[in-house]
Amino acid sequence: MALLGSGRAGSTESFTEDLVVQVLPDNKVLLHFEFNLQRPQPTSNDTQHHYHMFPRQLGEIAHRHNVESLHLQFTQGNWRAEQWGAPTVNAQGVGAEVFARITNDSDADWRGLTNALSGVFCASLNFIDTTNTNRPRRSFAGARHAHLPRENVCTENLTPWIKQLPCQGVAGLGALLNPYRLYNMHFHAMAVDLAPRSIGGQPVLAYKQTLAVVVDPKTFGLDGQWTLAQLVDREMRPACAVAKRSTVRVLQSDRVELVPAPDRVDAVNGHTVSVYDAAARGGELTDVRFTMSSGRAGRQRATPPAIVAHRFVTGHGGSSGGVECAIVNHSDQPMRVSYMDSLPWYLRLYMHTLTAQAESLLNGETHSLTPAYMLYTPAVDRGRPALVELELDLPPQSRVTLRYDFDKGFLKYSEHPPDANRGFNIGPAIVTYTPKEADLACTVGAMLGDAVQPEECVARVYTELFLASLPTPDFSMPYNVITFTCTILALFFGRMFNLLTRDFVVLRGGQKDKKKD
Amino acid sequence: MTEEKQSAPRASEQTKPNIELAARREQGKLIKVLLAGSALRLIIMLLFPQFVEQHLAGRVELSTPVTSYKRLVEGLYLSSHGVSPFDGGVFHQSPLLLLLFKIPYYLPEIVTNLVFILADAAVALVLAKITGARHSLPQFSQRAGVPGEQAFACPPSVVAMLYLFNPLMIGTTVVKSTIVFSHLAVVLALYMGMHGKINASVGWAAVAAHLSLYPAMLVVPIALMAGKRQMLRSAVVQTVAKFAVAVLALHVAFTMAFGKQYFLATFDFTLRVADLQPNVGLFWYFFIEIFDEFRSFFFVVFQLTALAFAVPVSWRFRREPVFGAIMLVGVISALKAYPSWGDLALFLGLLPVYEELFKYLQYSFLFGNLLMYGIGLAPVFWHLWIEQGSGNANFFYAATLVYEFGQITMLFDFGSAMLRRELDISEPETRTHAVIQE
Repeated sequence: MALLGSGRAGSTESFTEDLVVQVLPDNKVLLHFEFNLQRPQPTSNDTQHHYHMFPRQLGEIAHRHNVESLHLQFTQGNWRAEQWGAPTVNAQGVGAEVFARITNDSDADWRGLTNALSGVFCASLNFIDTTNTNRPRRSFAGARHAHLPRENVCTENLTPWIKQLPCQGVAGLGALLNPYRLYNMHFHAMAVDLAPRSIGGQPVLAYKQTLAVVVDPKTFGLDGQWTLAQLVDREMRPACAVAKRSTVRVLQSDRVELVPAPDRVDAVNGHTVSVYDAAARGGELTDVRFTMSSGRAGRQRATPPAIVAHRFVTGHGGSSGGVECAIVNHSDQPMRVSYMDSLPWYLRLYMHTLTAQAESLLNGETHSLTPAYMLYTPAVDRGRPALVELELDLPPQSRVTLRYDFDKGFLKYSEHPPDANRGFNIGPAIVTYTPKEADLACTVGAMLGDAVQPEECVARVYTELFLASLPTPDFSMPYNVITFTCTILALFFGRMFNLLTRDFVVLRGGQKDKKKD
Repeated sequence: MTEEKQSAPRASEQTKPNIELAARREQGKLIKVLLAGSALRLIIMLLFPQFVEQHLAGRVELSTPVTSYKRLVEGLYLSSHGVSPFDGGVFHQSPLLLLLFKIPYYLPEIVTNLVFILADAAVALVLAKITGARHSLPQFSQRAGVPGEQAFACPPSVVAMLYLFNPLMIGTTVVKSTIVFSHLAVVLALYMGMHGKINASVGWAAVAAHLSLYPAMLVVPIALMAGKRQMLRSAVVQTVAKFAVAVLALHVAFTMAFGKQYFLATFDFTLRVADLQPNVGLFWYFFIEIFDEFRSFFFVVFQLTALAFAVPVSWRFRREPVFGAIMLVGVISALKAYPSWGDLALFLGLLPVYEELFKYLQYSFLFGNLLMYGIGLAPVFWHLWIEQGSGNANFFYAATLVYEFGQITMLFDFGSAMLRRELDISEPETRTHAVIQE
């Protein structure tokens, strides 16, 4: 019976591949690749795991380390929300971000998971340890969260990522992933998501691979008119044969003319989407030609997302500083947001200096704001980072500014990175909120058949990273310092010993003139 | 005994009404000094809060990780929000301070300012009382002197003034460094010990030890003070036992209130030198630069160098246990893990109690200059290193080395002066002869 079940499980794995294209207001192009793989959840007595298309390494890692859900993302470049509008993915700052929910919440499993992922994706995820792992309560709903701000993403991470696709880079949309174009970009985010889902009452394990890049056609000498194949500099191949669905979707804007005409036009959450379905074209992917209707003059202003956040580091001098985070609510409604900031232990946070001030965008009136909820976990030296979680009620059309101070710690010479004077990258603060109207990420999710309900839709705004330069010792000095300090110590010891053991005596007789008192 | 005959005329030179008049005048002066010192501090705190905040509060020479007021406020903030202040890397001060400031924390800032000013004025008052006790208590005042020596040229009010108007101490109080409370406990322990109130003395020593660990060394001179009145051996055993009980009682009470974490965040933190923020001491740069494998070895070496001198120094000056205690205060100031200018200020404040030693000093020009260089250069070099970036850590380190060298020279010079004077007392006829150490 079990054998029969698992045999059927293999055959019920399903795979879809989609590419969403959006011409951004400043004529840059967002390419959002999404590959969805689903397999039935293995039953508990199912000891033999059969993998058909589902990447076996990921399945085994998840099983071994009791991973319930997982998100891993590598990002390069900043998402410019004011110019481009809402992103389709978590627009985190530069670096690698992992968050995972682990069934028994064990440290060993978390370490095991990050080390295994490190191996799979050729990344330095093994540097995730207790000093940079957080367990926020509100922002990531019980998951462990870690961010490596120094991690760069490159082809060595992309290659294993492409290998996990059923058709790899040979056919389908995977064949369009040309590293020369994907890394010559303004924004690049590569993510994998593992999450349990329920499809028709059947529990499935969903594995989603997402790659979102913002490229500028002008960089490649393409201006005004170009095709997809020209943009990625690859030929269009037939759709992946095992894919249940292969589509290219263009988020329609009236500035762009598409040739050929789409197979169908959908309307999702107020967006018009032109769909080119490979199934309707005999398994061939369509090379869509984009023509900008009015070229350079066609630039538009973007509608910024409801919430925008920027974080700055304040203060001068090398021994202390402060964090200032401005969260802007552009909507006409009050918004409840969760703010999460995590600072490493060597920035010693003083929570009593926390202030929150709300300023109206309309008339500039300011008043202080009391967080509706606050969680603060102080940092432990060389142990864990400080974690601040706040829930704030942002008034409509307002800017809320959070400020808090820190002192910079002094590290042992061996704790500084090799380029010590450059400083330490500090990960982003994260503002989480539930958008009143489905944002683009949610729309794309709904369009591509994500089972997420609109009210579960969570938007995350990542602030910029900052660079904390810590005071450095002189790295060439260890021997000198040991010598000098020990000299003073020896001087102290010698003089004290002298004082304690030797008595004054009077010189008498012939010796009297030897020494004048 | 010839010594007692020589000392007797010193007190009887003046007639009785004169003495009373002088005492009243002296008391008036003392009150004026205390009021002036407190007023000066209050004026600086109230009129120049911006200056204090920007230029003094963050000074590593004045407040250290174990005495910083900003960290104390953070501890109070955390405990008022139900987070254990000891479960983190910021707060490392005694739970006693949390209790002391529990109520002032909710009151206007001026209440906290006044608590610090009162504590500092109390230190000055007790210093004056200690000087007074040396002048009036028979076991001190009837001690022999050197012939021709002018007795007690430095009256209590001057001792209080030297402490209160020491710029180092003004700075320390104005930035509200909690070392002030440790100072108060130390001087109270000495004062009680001089008066033979050994229980009170041991209690204050335990509080001082709880506030800043190193004053635990003072139990040895206190035991010797107790030994003046009864059998030495039993007195020492009793005093040390009482001290152990007092410290243990405090420890048990706070472990029950704050858990084991409080111990790790305070005493363990100090002993391991876990925070390498620079200060005027020897530890920080050494432990930034030392190779990891030798770290624990040198913790032991450095801490033992300070702590191991408690017994020998006290024993060497057993005839003057108060002086032994002052020497230990100097040792603490030079060799504790997180020293500040405030520690030196207490040592400098205690020295005028033995003003008769000043003319025996041989290196006063040297150590005076060394200390002034060290104190003057530290802020300059800090600015060059941290603010401007045109200097590096070695600059500030050099200033601390000079400062430490000055302190050690001063400590040694005062110790020698004491021994040299004792020789003059025991053999007054040879005091113009040459002496050697052997």
